[in-house]
Amino acid sequence: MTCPSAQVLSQYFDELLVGEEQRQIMRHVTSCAACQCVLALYEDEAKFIKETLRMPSLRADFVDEVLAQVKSRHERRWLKYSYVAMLALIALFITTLICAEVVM
Amino acid sequence: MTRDFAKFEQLIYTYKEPIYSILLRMTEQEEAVRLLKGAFVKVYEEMPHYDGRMSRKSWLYRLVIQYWSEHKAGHGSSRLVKTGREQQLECLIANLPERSRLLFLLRYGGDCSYKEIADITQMSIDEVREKLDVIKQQMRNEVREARE
Repeated sequence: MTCPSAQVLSQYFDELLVGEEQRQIMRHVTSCAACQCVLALYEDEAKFIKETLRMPSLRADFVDEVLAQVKSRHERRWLKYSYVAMLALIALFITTLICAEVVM
Repeated sequence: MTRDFAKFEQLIYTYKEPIYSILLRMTEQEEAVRLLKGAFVKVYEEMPHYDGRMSRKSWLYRLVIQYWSEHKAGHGSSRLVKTGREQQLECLIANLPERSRLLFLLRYGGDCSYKEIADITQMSIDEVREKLDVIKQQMRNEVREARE
């Protein structure tokens, strides 16, 4: 097999090829130093892209800020539920009082 | 997935940096931090609705991308101070159309598989593969042309 084009090797590296085509290139690459060199370049390229994208990183207090925001929303929600529950209890108490007066 | 605080904290620690690397290149820096914060709060709210139909990572990324799409203020990307090859790469990414940029960043910044990207963007896996192949070839061509 003659060496595949750089584009086909790139597709092989990115796992875009399937079936027999993929197997043929795999067999060729294991015994072809030139193609191994090209694949090594693609590997370096992918590594370089990933490393470049890792920077800059988030500021250190980010997690604390998100957790504080979530906790405060959580507490506000509970406060709202407690308030509604308290109002319901007061309403129930007043209704019971009124009913008791009507019966007497 | 219940609204479990410890689990949520773990999700933030695992995914904050890869997602930040995506948002940072989809919008301005301050905006990226604001959107990321809002998106994580949304993730916490939505935790009880996770139904396991896709991986937790795809589900989380999808929520974040939806949040970004609904709340973004503009179309720009952050001006990152870098030099040499890194600067060249940042420019190539910044010049990609928004949709292509997102796919590229999900793959290399978010470290997503083709399947995960397909789940996040609701494209087919073949479409994702083909599109990413075209994007990479275009970027390599531009680097080659710049050298000549």
